[in-house]
Parts: sequence; C-alpha cells; structure tokens
Amino acid sequence: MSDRLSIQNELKELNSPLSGQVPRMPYAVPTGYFETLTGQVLSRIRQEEVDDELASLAPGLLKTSRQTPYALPTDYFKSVQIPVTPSAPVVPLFRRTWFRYTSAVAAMLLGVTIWLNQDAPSGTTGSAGAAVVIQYKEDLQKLDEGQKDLLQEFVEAGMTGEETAQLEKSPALQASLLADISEEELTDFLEQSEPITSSTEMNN
Amino acid sequence: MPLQSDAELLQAFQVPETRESAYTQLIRKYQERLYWHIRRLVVGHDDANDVLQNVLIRVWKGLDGFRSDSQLFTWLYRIATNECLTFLEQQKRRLSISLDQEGSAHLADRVRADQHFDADKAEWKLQLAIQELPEKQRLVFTLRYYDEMPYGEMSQVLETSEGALKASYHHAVKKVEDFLLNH
Repeated sequence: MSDRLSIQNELKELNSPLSGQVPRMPYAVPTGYFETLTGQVLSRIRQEEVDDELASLAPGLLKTSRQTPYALPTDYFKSVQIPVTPSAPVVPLFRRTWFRYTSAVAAMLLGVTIWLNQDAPSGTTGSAGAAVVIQYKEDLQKLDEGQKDLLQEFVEAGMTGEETAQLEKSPALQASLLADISEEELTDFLEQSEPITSSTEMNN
Repeated sequence: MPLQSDAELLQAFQVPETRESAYTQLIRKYQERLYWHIRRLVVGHDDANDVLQNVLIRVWKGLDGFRSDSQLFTWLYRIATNECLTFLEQQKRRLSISLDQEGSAHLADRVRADQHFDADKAEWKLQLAIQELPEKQRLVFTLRYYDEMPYGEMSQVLETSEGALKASYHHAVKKVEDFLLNH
C-alpha cells in the first residue's frame, strides 16, 4: 500500500477539492459485526461441506427439507424444568449407639456359631457348639418379624459402617434385644472389638 | 493468539490441525479492509455482508491453490472485486437496469436511503459523487482514494495496465470535483 502523502500530492496536482481532506466513510456497521463474522462464515463453510458431500452421495436428499416434522407443545422449552430434589440426609446405622450394641451381640452369636461348626468334625457337632446353636435358634424364634428383618439387614450390610441402611429408632426393640445381655458382657465386647466409628466417620 | 505473517498463516492453513485457526486469523486480519472495499461498491450493509461472506468462502476453497507469486492481500482484493461486480451485475438484471449510468443512479438512491444520510455533510456528498461514476472509475477511485492502493497492486487486482488506471483515476477525480462543486 502506498502512503497517504503521495495520494494527497496527486490530488493537489489535480487541484481537487479532496486534497487535504481525510477520507471518512459515513456508513455505519452493526455493533459487534466483525466479532461474529468469522463464526458465521465458518458455519456456512461447514454447511456447504455437508451439502457437497450429500450432493455426491444422494443428490435427491438435498431437495428434501431438513426441518423435523414433529410438533412440540407450545412453549415446551420455556416450561421444562429439570427437577432438583435435595438428597435425603443419610445417617449411618452405626452412628446409633443402641444399634451398635445390638448388632455386636448378634454378630458375636453368629460368629461363635460359625466357628463351632467349622471346628466340629464333618457330620458331627460338638456338644458346646450344639448348645449354642440350640440357644441361638431359640433366641431367633423369640424375635418377631420386624426384629428378624433388622437382623437380616444388618448381616447384609456388613460391619464396615459404610452401609446406608436406615432404621427407625425404637426403644422397645432396643430394650428387647439387650434384655438378656449384662453390662459386663457388653463392655468386654466393645473392648475386644475394632473401633467402628473411626472408619464410619472417615467415610462421611 | 498473536497475529502471524501471511506466509505463516498460509503454511498453517495447509496443516489439517491448524487449518481452521489459520483461516480464522486470516479473516480477522483482513475482514475490515475487505468489508469497506465491498461496502463502498455495493453501499448497503446487508449486501456487503452477503458479498463478503461469499468472498471468504471462496477464499477457504481457493487458498490451497494460492500461489505466492502475488501478495495474499492482492489476491483477496481481486476475489472481493470480482464478487462485487458479479453482485452488481445480478442486481442490475434483477432490476432490469441495462445502462451503466442507470445502475449508478440506483446506487445513489441507496446512499440517500441510508438512515444516517445527511445531504449537507461532505462525506455523504462524496458518496453520492462516487456512485455517479462509471463502474470502472468507481473501482479505481475507491481503491486509490480510500484503500491507498499503489497502481502496481491495483493493476494486479483489476488486470489493467497502470497507465490506464492512472487515466481512470484522473477522470474520476475530475468528475467527483464537478459533482461536489455543483451539488
């Protein structure tokens, strides 16, 4: 490009009234036009590439309207709201003290039973083990359906404290499960057991 | 992203991974100058936008075959000028205007129709004067007066000898002067 000076000199030589004036364009351009131009052009280019490809594969399809014929209810997209449901607070079962005692006892009974059965020779059952199993079965029969369900839920949930099973607080149930267990037995059990709450808290 | 030289942009355009970004930079580099060149010739913004988009699509399709024996900008101007002339020719046919002078009158009407038009302002008078010029002189005048293009480059864009271009420009300047003195 030449500089402005040489063009001005040329105009001066021609005695033009334009000599000495700065060229100005009075036309206006819509705001933001140059910022969006690239995007518009690229989108047209992509469209043309798709059309060219289609023209070579199936020219008849080019004449077919690309409008989707399905109808939508009026203002569908304005009315659509994605439901946001707050997540229910999950209280780990092992945070409940009464349940820890109950489950510990049940687990202990279960563990002893399994241990006795494993130690016994095949096809036989030791007399001590047999007594415990009989006692266990009797205890099991004393439980009502709700208590059995809770026990089942506990066994399935495991001992990690990560389970999300929830139990309604029931003082009556708590009392019935702890009725035959002395304070001393519970204390001994808790002293021998791994601390359960630490892993539970870490996972929360 | 920093603007690269034309040579770097052309090189990047040849690589599929950088093709689109090189093209985007190229548009950003030249879009305003090309737009104004087109706008001076077709007058209306919507028409200028249509023509410019067609030009840029032609550039996308033709850039692979661009040979560096001419400047990239000269090549872009040539495409833009040809696209403008084609557009104006189609417009004339659409409006059943056969004579060159009548076509110019139509463009002058479009200048007057601009929402910002002010007949008392010198820059608007100049636009009217330019639209009164025959097509070739209009092209030469705008390329020289607004785009400050040397005759050598203009010769490549319009494929006309420098001598003929100088003569056209001088005629155009005199006609513009007459118009400004008499209106």
